[in-house]
Amino acid sequence: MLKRPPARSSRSREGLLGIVLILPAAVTIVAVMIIPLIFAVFASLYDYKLGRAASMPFVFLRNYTRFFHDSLALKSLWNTVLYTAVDLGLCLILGVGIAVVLNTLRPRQANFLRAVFTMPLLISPIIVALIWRYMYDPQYGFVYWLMRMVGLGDWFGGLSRPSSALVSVAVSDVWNVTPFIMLVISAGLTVVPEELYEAARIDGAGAFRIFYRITLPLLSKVLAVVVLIRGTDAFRVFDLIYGMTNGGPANSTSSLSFYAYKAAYQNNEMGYAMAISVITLLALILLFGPLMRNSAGAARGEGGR
Amino acid sequence: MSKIKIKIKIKISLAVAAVAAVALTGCSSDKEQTGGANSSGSGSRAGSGSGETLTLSRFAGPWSDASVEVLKDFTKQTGIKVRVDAIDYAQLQQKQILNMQGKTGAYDVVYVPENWYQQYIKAGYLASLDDLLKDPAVGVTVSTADYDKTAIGITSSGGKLYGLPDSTQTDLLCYDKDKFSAAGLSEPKTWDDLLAAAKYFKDHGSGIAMPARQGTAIVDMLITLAKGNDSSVITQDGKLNLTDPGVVQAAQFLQQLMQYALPGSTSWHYDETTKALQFGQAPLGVCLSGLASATENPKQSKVAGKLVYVPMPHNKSVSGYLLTWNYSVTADSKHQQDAAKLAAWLTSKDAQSKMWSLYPGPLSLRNDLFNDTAQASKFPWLPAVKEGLTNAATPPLGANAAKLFDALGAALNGNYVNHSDPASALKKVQDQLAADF
Repeated sequence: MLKRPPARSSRSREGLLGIVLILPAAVTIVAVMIIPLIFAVFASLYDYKLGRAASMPFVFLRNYTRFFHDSLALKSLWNTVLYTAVDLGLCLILGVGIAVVLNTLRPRQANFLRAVFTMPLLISPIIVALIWRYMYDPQYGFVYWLMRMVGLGDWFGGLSRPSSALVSVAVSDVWNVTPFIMLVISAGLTVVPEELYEAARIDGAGAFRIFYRITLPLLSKVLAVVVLIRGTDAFRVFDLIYGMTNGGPANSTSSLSFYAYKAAYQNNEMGYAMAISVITLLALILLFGPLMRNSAGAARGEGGR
Repeated sequence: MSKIKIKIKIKISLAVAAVAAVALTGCSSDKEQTGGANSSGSGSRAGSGSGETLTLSRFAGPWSDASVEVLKDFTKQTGIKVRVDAIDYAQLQQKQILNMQGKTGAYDVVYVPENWYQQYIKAGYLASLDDLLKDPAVGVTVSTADYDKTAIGITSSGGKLYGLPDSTQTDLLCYDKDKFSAAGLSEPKTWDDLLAAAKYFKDHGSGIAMPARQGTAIVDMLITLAKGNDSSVITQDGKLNLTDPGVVQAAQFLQQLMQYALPGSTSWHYDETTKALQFGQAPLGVCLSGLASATENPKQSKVAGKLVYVPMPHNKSVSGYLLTWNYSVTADSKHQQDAAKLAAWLTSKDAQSKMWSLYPGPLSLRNDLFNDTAQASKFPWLPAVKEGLTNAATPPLGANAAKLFDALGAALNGNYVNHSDPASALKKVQDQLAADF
């Protein structure tokens, strides 16, 4: 008896099902992301000002060359890179550390603590900014109260000094988003086989060696995703800076997004603001694009086995 | 998977997609109902009176809440309903511009501060009020002589009036009279007086509350102090003047004063300095007159009745800072006559008196209320506001004013935190922005 070939109609139905399922998301992405992006690139080539769209001169790449001659723009770029590095580093260390520790506890204890640690994640960033703005106040802030208890009240600059303001803003963001990393890593740890840990312990491996040789390598894919998500979020920081420091003191916390906002809505230089936004996008692609490529490549490799 | 199951799955998916599409459509419909957005083009003068709804755009807060209360009287008198679109000040200008630029007709009356007028008038966003206010159909009697002359000048251009002045506020020095008396200090009138007082309290554990955060407040202080030093950051013919010796001296004075500021002042705006005064942490501080009602409210303040309000100390002449808020009719309003009626009503003596009783912060720019001694006696900061406004500086009003505030705010804040030379910081801003003025 001849074998019947696979029914094309069932494959095409599945294909149709797939298209129908992703259509709403695809339409949304095109409408709220792709079209505005195309408009932003277009507008960045003009001296576009709100209210004078009818008479905006074409300036080609002048907004882009202006960026690289603008000391405040370059300072904002540097602040953004520094902020991302500090924020991401602290989030990863704390998030992974907490997840690993919780993984060693009994399930009930771990679940309870996980719920408690997740609470900061429920607060919106602008409220986080307001909370921490007052926490950092030297007169009646909680942070300074703690610092004074250990004799560091006069030493700590908080939001008042350029040397400490950016890190202080980063700390508030770490407080807000570390729970996200903790949750993702906790989920990632569930797929690490317990036998590997047992075997390592039998072989005499200590906690650090187990973590470094077993846990981290097995978490690498999850960590790549976390770094991608968290890194791109940190790079685009705006609301914390807007709520806490307004870019000060002395522009030490001005980020690319914040600078673009000021260019657009305070100085009414929309074209320049669009150029800054496009540069931000290109910087993100440069910094985090390889991670996306690796993640996508790894997924394809696993699927093809 | 069986064919039947696949069919069911396809049907369910289509149904979910259809529901999502309907929900999205429903959301946009809802927005049209509440927002009143209508892109049908330019405004009209049609006044229809009873049953109409006008939309007023203003910033949110207790002042806005007071206006909502007062507007109930307008509705009773005219039958015209008013929807107040009150949003955060930081987003107000964007939202107004986006609506007026798009000629949506969403706003009929907009609440505009002095420094947005040139931009709005140049872009054609505002309707001229001269003919509207004389139109018998509008039915109001308004004379520009009823309002402060400088404020009228701010809302006028090319001989046409574009806004009716509502209220003003200025920066003031506030101090606790009991603490000053205990310290043997007298009222600070000059820069030297203020430095001495601030130094005394700094040496005794506190200091002066200063709004020295990177932003508009420090620039406000510089402009006021420069005026009190018979100088100005912008010359009469609109040129940037930051390297003038009088302005440099004012910046140097601010730098000296900052060394006696309460810790954290470099992150403070007016709200925080008012709080520091309210809770008794600061024996003296710079505050905004529009926020002074909080310090005099016994339910909110530990120092109610104890504060004295004086104009900012000067070097040569008493000075103040004229910050104004005004009502204007939008060019794309579909009810310009009713909108003009609303603007005139909101700036009438009765409406302003009622607003004042509900929220006694800002000072009316109507001459009859501005000079009303009975009102002044109820609000202890008003005499200082009036004294300061006899020689008031206005904020820079040109299209590039926002850039100036941004650059100066960063420069002055940078001086404080980096202990750098104010003269070179001002020169840097002058060189950077002179071409824009």
